[in-house]
Amino acid sequence: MSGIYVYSDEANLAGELLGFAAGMGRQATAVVFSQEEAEAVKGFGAEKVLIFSGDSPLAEQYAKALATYLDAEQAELFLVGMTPRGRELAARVAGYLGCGMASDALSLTPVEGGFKAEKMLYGGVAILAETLESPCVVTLSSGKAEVKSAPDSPIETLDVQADTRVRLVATEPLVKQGVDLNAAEKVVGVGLGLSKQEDMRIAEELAETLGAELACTRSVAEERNWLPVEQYLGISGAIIKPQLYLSMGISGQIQHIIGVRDAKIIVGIDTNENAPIFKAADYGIVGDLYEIVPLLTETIKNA
Amino acid sequence: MFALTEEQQLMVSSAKEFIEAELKPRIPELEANQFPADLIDKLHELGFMNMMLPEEYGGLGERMTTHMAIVEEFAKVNLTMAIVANQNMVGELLLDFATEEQKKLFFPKYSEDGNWAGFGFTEPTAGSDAGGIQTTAVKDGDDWIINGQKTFISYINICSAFLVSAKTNETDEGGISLFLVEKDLPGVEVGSIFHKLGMHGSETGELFFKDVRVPSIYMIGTENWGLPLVLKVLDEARLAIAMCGVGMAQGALDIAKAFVKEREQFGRKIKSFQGIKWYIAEMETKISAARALVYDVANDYDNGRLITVGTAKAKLFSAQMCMEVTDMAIQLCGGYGLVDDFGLERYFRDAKILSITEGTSEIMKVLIAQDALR
Amino acid sequence: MKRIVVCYKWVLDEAYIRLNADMTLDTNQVDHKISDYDRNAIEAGVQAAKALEGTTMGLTFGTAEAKQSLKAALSRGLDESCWVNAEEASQADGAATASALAGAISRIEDVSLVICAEGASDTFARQTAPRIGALLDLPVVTSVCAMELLGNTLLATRKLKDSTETLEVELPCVVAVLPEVNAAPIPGLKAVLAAGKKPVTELTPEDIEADLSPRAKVEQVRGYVMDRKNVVLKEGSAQEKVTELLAHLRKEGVL
Repeated sequence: MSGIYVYSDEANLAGELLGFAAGMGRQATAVVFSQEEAEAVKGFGAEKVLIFSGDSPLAEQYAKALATYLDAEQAELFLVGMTPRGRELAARVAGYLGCGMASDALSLTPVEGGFKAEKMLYGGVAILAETLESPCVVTLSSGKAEVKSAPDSPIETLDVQADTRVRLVATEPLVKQGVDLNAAEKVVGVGLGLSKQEDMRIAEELAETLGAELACTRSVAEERNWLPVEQYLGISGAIIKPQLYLSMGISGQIQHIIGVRDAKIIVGIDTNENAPIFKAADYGIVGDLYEIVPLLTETIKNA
Repeated sequence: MFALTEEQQLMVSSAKEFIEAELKPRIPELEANQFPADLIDKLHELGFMNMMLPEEYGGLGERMTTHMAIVEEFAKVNLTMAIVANQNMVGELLLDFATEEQKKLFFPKYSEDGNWAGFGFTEPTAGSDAGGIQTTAVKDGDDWIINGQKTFISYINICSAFLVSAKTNETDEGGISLFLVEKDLPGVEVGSIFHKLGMHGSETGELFFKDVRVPSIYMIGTENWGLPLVLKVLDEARLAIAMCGVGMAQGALDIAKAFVKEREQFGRKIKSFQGIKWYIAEMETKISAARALVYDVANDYDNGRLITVGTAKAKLFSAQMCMEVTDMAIQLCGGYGLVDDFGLERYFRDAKILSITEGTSEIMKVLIAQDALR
Repeated sequence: MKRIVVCYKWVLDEAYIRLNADMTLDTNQVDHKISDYDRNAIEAGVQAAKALEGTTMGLTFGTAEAKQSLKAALSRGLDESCWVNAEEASQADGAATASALAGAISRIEDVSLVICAEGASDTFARQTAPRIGALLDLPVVTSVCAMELLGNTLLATRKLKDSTETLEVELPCVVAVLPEVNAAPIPGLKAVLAAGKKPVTELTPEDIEADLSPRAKVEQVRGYVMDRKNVVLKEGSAQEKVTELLAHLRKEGVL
């Protein structure tokens, strides 16, 4: 077995995956499906960039061709960025290879003959550690490693057969539909630190930029009626477990915190340095939300 | 413990889904005394309303134990809804005592409106003494003419008719008959609606009857022998009240448990203090005991046994237990328990009605002692 | 008649899992449930059956415990149910699960559409639908937030991070749906009572062609208690604090 292959439809994440492989002391091959993708990742230190070229504009429709290739090359690991497209491609490749796969791994370490991965179970109640024999497939989130700049990698093109049974008809920007706090990966919470209903705009803009849902404390929903009661979090309201909960102007009273205590990361923004939110949060900014939040939105937009 | 069948468990799951998705967001409305009537329509559509009636009358022919399991789930969240979300006990009474002709007349009304009729027994001078009423009904040809006054009538806002007790024989002892009186009949007037401690969302108040003409087909049971029917229908209603106590206590305890697991004082979670543990253990035990008693009586009912004394015990114990547990739940949460964010103050206010409605705790004791000392 | 197979999983209700002092899981008093998003998958199947004038079959791979799931699934509107009863299910990974389900599907006649939820509430691995597609070499569409059937063609809207794609595919195919694909209705009590009368097929590993050995070997499952990091940024300019916060969040992988 030899060779680590990485793919992400987000170039930066592909760079992080290459960085992750480098962290394990390995130089990986970057898999891409177009010349543009190749150009975007060639400076991130891959051993080579391999373009799978065929008749579909959709990366995941190359699963079978890619699996055949990885099998022939005796690849030991296919490391994929944790995006909707990446996850589908990864699992289909694992299906064709009939090999093990760790989805959305928290950690990944090489062991004799394979890899050990950790992942969340039961929505965060537990962590599962499992070993996967090579070949195997792993999906990984961003933030696990740094992108490293390097001289351009050589680019090779392989002409392959894509699965053309699934045809792309249209692509449109995401239109937000109804609020589903339970399914939301990111949630922005608003408290009474916001003084006027018009100021909800600040929170809405941040939520939009983050791709987050909006939620609030009980008083914001029930006393001020700024959001529907379905959107208040807490012991008598919705109890959620998003990846990120970012609260603004919420002091962090226990009745509210019970609604978000299972969030992976809690962020608090509040003027009062002694507010209980900072004890309940992973990261906090002491400051005026009217200054911090718009700046936060803008910084994310410009990133 | 009494074990629910797979089907009963699935019905309970459906109830839970309904409660999460539909009822919880509407509690502020109930607390503001606005009854969300559309929820009853939805429950009706899902088959919850009058599930104990046979299929031919629009029910599912379900057992008392199923009804109890569902009442508990609703009561964990809201008492006002728990009482009317499922089985209407007047319907059960009609099943046992109405003539075929009456069933044909009244059950279609139930299939249209699951809470078509409520109770109309209590009077300003006759509460526990259900036989001491002043309301009269006098025969006039094929009709009855009803005059008098009822009070503490619950759910005036959502019921279209009331099962009213009235004196039909001045001389004979126990000369009381029962009539279904529709709210929109000429001469029926809704009096004041009371501001009350708990059970917000149910309009409770007065009904006045002035020369209300009711056709004789609206008389339920045998003339002059209505009182035993009142007592029977109350037996069944009391059991639901006992289960409401179990559900509310469980709901309050769940909130308190979430709090003590999170709250830190003196540098540690307060759940690690032995004093707190003892309270939790006592609350758990009392709730389990009350629940077991309710299911025991419900099971008796499903097996055709008399439940008057069992129900009295269940209601007496559950009402006391619920008062203690909701009190202690607030105590465990300290100041937080008093603020309405937690909902605990509502459970506490609602708990008090359990020892009064459908027969006071004192009347329950009379029934239990009468049986014990026979 | 066209058949729509909906795969679902009978999982522990995670809300009731407790942690022992040694951080192992206490699942003794924990009830099972149909995995949350499978409710939407079942409803998607019911809707698809209407459009295709076909019938729906629930399919699950589980241990003896999963028997309880049959009525629960049927009460949500499926026409019949199939259960691959195997002890191996307790140790199964994505590969074994997909193999069992694909093995069962290839025995079922006239399958036009296989629907799974995007992920299960226990593992949330999102592997089942793509793997079934691979094993049966059928086309796959995942992350579906809306679907429309026009004759033998499925038009699926797929939700990506910041865009949606409309995809077109001929049946048969395998679809993984997101919860937003529909609002799963609450089962009515009549449907609950009728569920017991619907046909159920029980299969054993011998009945299907499948490899039920897990490729991923479980080393350990331990409880996880969130330890908050309590990093409070109070010094410096607003911009400095914002930049530092974003650096932390990026590192946590939550942006």
